[in-house]
Amino acid sequence: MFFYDKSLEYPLHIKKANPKAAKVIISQYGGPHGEIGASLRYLSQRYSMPYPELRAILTDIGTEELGHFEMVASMVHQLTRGLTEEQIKQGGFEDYFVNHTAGVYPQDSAGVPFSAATFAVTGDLLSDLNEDLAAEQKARLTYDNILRLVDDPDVREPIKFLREREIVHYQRFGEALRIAQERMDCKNFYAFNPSFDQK
Amino acid sequence: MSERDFMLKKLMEARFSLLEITLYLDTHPSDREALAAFGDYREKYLVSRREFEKKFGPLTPFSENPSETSWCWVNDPWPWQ
Repeated sequence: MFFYDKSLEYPLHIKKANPKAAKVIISQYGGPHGEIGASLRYLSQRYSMPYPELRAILTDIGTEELGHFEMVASMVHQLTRGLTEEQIKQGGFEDYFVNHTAGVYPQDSAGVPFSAATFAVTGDLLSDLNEDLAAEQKARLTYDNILRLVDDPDVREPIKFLREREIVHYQRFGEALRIAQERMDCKNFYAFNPSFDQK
Repeated sequence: MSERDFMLKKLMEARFSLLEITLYLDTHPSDREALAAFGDYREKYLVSRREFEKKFGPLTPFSENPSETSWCWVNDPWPWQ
C-alpha cells in the first residue's frame, strides 16, 4: 500500500510567478518523458520481474517517481500562483488558462494530455530494463532542455536535483540489467523468458 | 529561514540519505559498508522526524495526533503551498 508523507522530496520556495516556465515544466508532469509515466512504467513492470532485487528497485524507484510527480506539479502550481490577467496574456498562457485556469493538469508542454501510450510493459525483463535505462536518459534530457530555458534560481535548483536523480536511477537500472544477465541463460539470453517460460 | 523550514530541511536531508542508500542496497544487498550506513542514516532520520512532528504536527495520517479536540492532519501547510 501507499500512504502520504506530508513533505516534498526537495524544498521548493518559488516566489515569482512565471507562466512561460510553468508551460515547459508541466511536460515533466504529464508529458512523454514525465514523472507520472515513469512511476506507472516501473510500478507496472515490477509484477513480471523474476528476481527479488529487480522487484525491489522497480518498487523503490517507481515510488520515488511519485514524489517527483508531486514536486513537478508543485512547481507548476507555484509558478502560476497569483497570476494577473495581464501576466496570462503576456506569458502566452491563454491556451492553458482557458481550460484549466490555475489548476494543474497532467499534460505535455504542447497541451497533449498524459497517455500510457508513452511507455511499455512487455513482460520481458531485458526489454523492460532497457526501456527503463532509455526513459531515465529521456527525462534527464528534458530537464537539461528546461535548464536552457529558465533563469530563476528558485526554479533551477529543484530542476537540477530532479535531473541528478535521473542519472542515479540510470546507474541503478544498469546494475539491475547486470544482475538480470548474470542469472539468465548465458548461452542464449533470448531462449528462455524467466518470468514466463516454465522450467 | 523559519524554525519550521530549518527543521524540515534537516529531516529532508536525513530522509534523502536514507532513500539514496535504499536504492543502492536494492542492487547491492550484501554490501556491508552500505548496510552499516543504512543503520546510521535511519537513526538520524527517525530522530529528526520525531523532533519535527513533536513541534509541528503529523507528517503522515498515522502519526500521533497531538490534540484531543482537533484532527491536526488537515492543518496547513500542505507541501505544495
